[in-house]
Amino acid sequence: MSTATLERFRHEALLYSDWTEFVAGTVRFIREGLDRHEPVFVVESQQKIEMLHAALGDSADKVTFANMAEVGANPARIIPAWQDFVAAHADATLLRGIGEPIWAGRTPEELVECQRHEALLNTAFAAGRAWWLLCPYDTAHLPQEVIAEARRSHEFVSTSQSIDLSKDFQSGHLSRTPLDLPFAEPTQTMTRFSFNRSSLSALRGEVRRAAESRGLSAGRLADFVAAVNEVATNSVVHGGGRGVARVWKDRDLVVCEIKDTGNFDDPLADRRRPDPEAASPRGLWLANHLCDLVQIRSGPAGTVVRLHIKVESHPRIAVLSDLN
Amino acid sequence: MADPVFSPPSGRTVYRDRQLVVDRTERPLGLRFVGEIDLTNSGAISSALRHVLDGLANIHLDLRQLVFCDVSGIRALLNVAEAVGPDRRLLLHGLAPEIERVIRVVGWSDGAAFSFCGCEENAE
Repeated sequence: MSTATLERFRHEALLYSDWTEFVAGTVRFIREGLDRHEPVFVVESQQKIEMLHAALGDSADKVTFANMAEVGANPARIIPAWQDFVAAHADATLLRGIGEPIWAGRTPEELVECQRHEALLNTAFAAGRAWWLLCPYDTAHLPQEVIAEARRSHEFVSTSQSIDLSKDFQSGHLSRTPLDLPFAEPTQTMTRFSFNRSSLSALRGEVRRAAESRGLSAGRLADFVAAVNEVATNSVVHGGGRGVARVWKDRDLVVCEIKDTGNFDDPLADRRRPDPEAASPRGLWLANHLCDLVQIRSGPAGTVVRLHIKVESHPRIAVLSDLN
Repeated sequence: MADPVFSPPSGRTVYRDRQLVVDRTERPLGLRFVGEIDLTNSGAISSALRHVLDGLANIHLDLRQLVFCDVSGIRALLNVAEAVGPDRRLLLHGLAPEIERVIRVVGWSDGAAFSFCGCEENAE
């Protein structure tokens, strides 16, 4: 298909079942972009980046690569990365990206947040510049229902042989299974606190102790407490003035859930880069950059935010690169 | 590099609530923060400090004992910095690395409103 007529964001899933199909589909896409002098940004695993380097030869120097394990460890950080890419090439009429946020090793919680991310891309870029994002999906290792959801979140579905409009495409809304499934109730031992405006300081102390006793490393405690505090502050200011926090350990994670009676309908709220000059909200953005995963569900019954942080971990690379 | 020697508490407490005390320091001229800043006191601190800082030149903030500062607290300090400027600056001493990381993540590190004092170890 010619790209000469591309006038808006195009979100395409590339289904591949082996490395040959992956390379065939992605290299053709990259070369077509380079031939047209379009900026190309590839966010992939380190292994696939090396494979693409080998397949592209000298042309690889014209492509920008980033490691999805760093950029997209928390999938809520991926849309801002694409926004930066688009903004950095203001003079380009068309841009191309390849991003593979979903791989077989994702935990169930990461997977559903990646699926929400894929759906939100349609909302985030609906009104913006024309660019083409290709999202490879490994059909040999991903469950059938993950591929089925990819067909709902991508307007086009291609293989190394064909490109088709997806008849299942459902644009950017999130009210469908699996994107809006309620959270599973934790089975682990929990510490629970109610909080309001006057007990934020006590909440921080309780969360610190609860996370520390569940093994969270000293280097991440302050980040975790800061993230929890911002989300709890949102409950106090926007979510009915009070909330309930629960902390538990799940596999190698410490999770803190904040629940309140507020309701907001802005699924991009946590991934909109704050304006330095404005008094715009920053709490959820911060939480996404301090934690390894943030899950948000908001509806008429209230808002639930779950902050996940790995017990044996260091501040994310994505945060460190922001420092420079 | 050694921290600057701040003068002992002079009895000139300029702000106090149940989680934060702010005292004047004389050498260097400025303020020492002990405790926590969050939603409950950031607004009050912002108003109190603007009043206190009238007449001072560059203002050194001893933040070594500021054990917590949320986004609203950083915004409050930024508001103070903007109110005293542009010819005067807030010079930050001993800001905890995790608070500095928050400032950077939320996109307020590029402004000239506050500076990390040159005599401080984690100066930028």
